[in-house]
Amino acid sequence: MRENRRTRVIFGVLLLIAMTLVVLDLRDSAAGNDEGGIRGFATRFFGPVETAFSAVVTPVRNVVSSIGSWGSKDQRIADLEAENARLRGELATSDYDRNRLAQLDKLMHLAGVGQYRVVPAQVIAVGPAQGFAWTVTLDAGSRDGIKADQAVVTGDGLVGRVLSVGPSTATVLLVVDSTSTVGGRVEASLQIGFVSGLGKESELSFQLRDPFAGIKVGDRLVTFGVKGGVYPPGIPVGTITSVKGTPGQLTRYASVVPFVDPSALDLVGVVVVAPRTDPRDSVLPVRPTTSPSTTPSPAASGSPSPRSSTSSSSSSGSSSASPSAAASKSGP
Amino acid sequence: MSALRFVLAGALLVTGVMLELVVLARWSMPGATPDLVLVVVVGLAIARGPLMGAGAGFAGGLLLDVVPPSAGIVGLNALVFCMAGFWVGRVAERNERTPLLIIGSAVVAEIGVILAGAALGGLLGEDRVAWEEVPGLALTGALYAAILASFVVPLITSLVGRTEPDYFSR
Repeated sequence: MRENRRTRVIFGVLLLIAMTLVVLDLRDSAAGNDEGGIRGFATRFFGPVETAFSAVVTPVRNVVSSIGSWGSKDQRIADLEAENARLRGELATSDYDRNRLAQLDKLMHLAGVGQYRVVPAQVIAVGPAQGFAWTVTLDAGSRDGIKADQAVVTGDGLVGRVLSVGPSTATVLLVVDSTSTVGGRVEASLQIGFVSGLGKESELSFQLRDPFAGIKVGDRLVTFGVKGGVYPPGIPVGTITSVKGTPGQLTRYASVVPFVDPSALDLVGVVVVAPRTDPRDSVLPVRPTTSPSTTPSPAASGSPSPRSSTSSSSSSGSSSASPSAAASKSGP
Repeated sequence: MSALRFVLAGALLVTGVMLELVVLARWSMPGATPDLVLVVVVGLAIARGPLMGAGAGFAGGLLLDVVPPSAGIVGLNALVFCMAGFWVGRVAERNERTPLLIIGSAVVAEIGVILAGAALGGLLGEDRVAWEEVPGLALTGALYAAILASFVVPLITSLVGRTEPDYFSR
């Protein structure tokens, strides 16, 4: 019975401590203090642990996931089983490396075309789905020049913004999170509005500022880029898939599918220096159909080329060949 | 409570948190993320009783609340996991440790944690709670918890049992 009473007392104490933490956190976030003591301490301590875990686990994970595709490959394996298994192991690893290199290339291309200066980082941890928050952890932090409220991109487009920073890790809020809002602009027009996350993996909501604006399915969105705001201008956000409401109706909004798949994030870049001029639509990929709407305006196309020599290079010093090649590609 | 038991439980919880955030969450399984931390808490509660269950739940929930990339209310998971751990410990104390008990308590604990987490979060002003997703999350969460519990809990009970063989011998 004493054991029982002691258990109950300790249980009650633990519940009380938990409730106190909740109240303290509510009070802190109401006052706008994001990086509270305990979370900051946990970031400093567990960030490197997560990075180490990820470094160990990721190559294993990629070899394991490639095992699934073995059965669909050639049948001649049966004869030289051991030799082929070894070769396949090597192939799986270099497939993984090729993938990473392609992601990095794409990221540097976007950075070069838009003249953003990015710090590449890898996603090492993701928040659990039952927390309803879409957040990820990167393995770069304040030591790499990352600060809170910087935009995060991949070669495909906008990923989100940095919520908080530790010495060697950073927490990113994805655009699809329901508390995320980005100023957006429709491609090749001056229509602006707000792109909000809905907590859904592949849908954002775009609310137009002008209810009479003409937008249609298939229009693409880039970030608007308020001066001094969080998101630099010109980063691709997504494509409009449906428009609800009629022109003039008070609630006129569109569904947008983001360019970036939030469940397949691996290599991302944090924009540490925004471009000096607005890249307008030059970062959007050329549309495969005949629509001329992706031609960048003459003012914007003039500036990237002479700047290619001082163009964005990541702080890891990766190839400077791609930004200048990309800048010349955006010329016409 | 011996120091070794504390250290072992702590190591199991930290490993569970790391595996859940670095491996399981990144896999993007449909619905909920497999809640390895809760299954570890359930395992410790079944092995050692309600006191260990409550303590492990508190510690595991708090870890989930503060380790990056957490963004919810700090202490919410600590509260909910603590209650779940205590309840599972109570149930395990009074009943025989059968596979049905193990899987059943993990399933009920997971559903309870998801529902209570969403309800408390909504009450406390957490903006993100999407109620239309909660049934799907609870069902998939329960399924993953059942699968995880079937091998993680026996592993934990054998690990924890090995360090102190003269304690619970049931």
